[in-house]
Amino acid sequence: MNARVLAPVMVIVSLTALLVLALLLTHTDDGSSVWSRLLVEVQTIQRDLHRQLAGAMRAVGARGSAAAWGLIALSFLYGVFHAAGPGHGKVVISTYLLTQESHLRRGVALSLLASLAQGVTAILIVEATVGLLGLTFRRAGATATGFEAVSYGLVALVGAILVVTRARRLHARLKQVPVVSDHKPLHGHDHQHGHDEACSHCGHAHGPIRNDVEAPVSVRTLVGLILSVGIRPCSGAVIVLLAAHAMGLRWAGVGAVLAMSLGTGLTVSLLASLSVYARKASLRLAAILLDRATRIATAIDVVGMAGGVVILVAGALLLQSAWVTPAHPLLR
Amino acid sequence: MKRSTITIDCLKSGLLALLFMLTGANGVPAVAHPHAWIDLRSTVVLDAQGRVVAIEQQWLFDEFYTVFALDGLKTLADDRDPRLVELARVNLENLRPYGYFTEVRADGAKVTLGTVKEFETALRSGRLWFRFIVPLDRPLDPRKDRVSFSVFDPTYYIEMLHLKDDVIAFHGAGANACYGRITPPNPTTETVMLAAALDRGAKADNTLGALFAETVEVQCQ
Repeated sequence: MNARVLAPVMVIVSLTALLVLALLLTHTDDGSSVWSRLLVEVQTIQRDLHRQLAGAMRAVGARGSAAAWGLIALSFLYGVFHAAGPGHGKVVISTYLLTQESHLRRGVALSLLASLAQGVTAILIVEATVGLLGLTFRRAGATATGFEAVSYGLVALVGAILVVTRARRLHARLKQVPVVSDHKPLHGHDHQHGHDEACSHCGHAHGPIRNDVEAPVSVRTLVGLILSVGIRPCSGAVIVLLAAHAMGLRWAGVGAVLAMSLGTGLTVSLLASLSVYARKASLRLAAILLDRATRIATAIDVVGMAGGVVILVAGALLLQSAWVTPAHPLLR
Repeated sequence: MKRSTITIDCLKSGLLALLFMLTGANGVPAVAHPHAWIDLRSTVVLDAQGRVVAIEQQWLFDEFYTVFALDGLKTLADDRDPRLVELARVNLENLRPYGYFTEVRADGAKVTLGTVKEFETALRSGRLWFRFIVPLDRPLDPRKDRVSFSVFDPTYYIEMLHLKDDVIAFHGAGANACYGRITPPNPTTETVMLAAALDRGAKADNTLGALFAETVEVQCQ
């Protein structure tokens, strides 16, 4: 699409977004914003679902597989609302998508797989500690906490890899800049004749931008990201699994946790889609603001590097806090 | 000329990076997620002069936490199993450095709390229940000072709220002239944003748990 056509569209979209944001942050008569009310509402729903979850589990114990679907459905819903909370996984995934990834399908797959991995890790930990080794529930909980630190460390590592990859490309490109500048002067966009010849290897077309964006995103980075986030078991899932174990309903617990993971995956996917769209919109804006492909590519790499830094710092901070924060007084 | 072009490019890139980061900050919804729930009941204990001397609390844990804490219920003989009492003792000991998750304020300033000596525990339809009394270091006169209290887990791992329509009880001299007003949590956007990124507890006053805590104002005539 032409940049001249897109510009007004972008302005309208941005203004609408600002309006919605302002509306959400506006304080009502009693001093609470719409957004903060929404927060409290989500908490209430989550609490009610969790309360029903215990009942549903007992129903499976009493009536067998006939009550299983109720448990599965409830677990799924609980997952949806549970994931609407802050978690380093969501911060990492949305930062990653916002700064590195432009494929919606890949973003959704990443979110779903990371959420499922968290559930599977919880199942494996509980099966290994309680099922296999016969450890106490508290020891199982402590093991799960140990995995958290590993996850944070891996997140920091993924961030570091992203920074290095982007920095290398940036360095390589900055070296080429003078050559391109000779070919096309600073005010080149005013010269109509310059357009066609320049667009054979750069310009406003999205093709080249796509290639630039996707180039450093390797399957290895994606797998690394899924593992780093997914190796941290959801502590809520661990507790549900332990309860199922105690009730002699191991399989009901596994089913509930998998349904929960799908639920969290759905919420995180929604967030991921938002991130991908935000990125796409920003890329379009970039295509209007910066009219040369090299500049756009440079901007993309700078953003990519900044994203890597955010992920690296988040991982490091979480690792540090995991180190210094003593175990929860009621879980010791 | 070439150098300045690069500088402009870098500036623009930086600006765009900022744009990305800003949208990123808004893209992260900042609702916290507790993993266990406690239904709270509280009684304000008054001395002979009608001053607040302690906050008596009842904590009713959710079923999942109960199973976790008791390592499966099957090993328990009955409600009066000595292991229940032992669990309550250990938990209260662990909670001591955290002020029993209780924060009492007089005119906005935090009040020092004493050590819990009196407690009781039981299982109530499959849920762990504690009752204990948190004494204040010095008595507070609710007619002179603005007395309020909050009970919350600073890490927000556990959500602690009074049940809907629950009333704050008062015990002691002049209890009938007193009323406890429960203000529901009202997390402001700014503070939640600050705490949003980390799902582990921070040390600051603005902990995640504090943002989602109820406040009870003690009003006596």
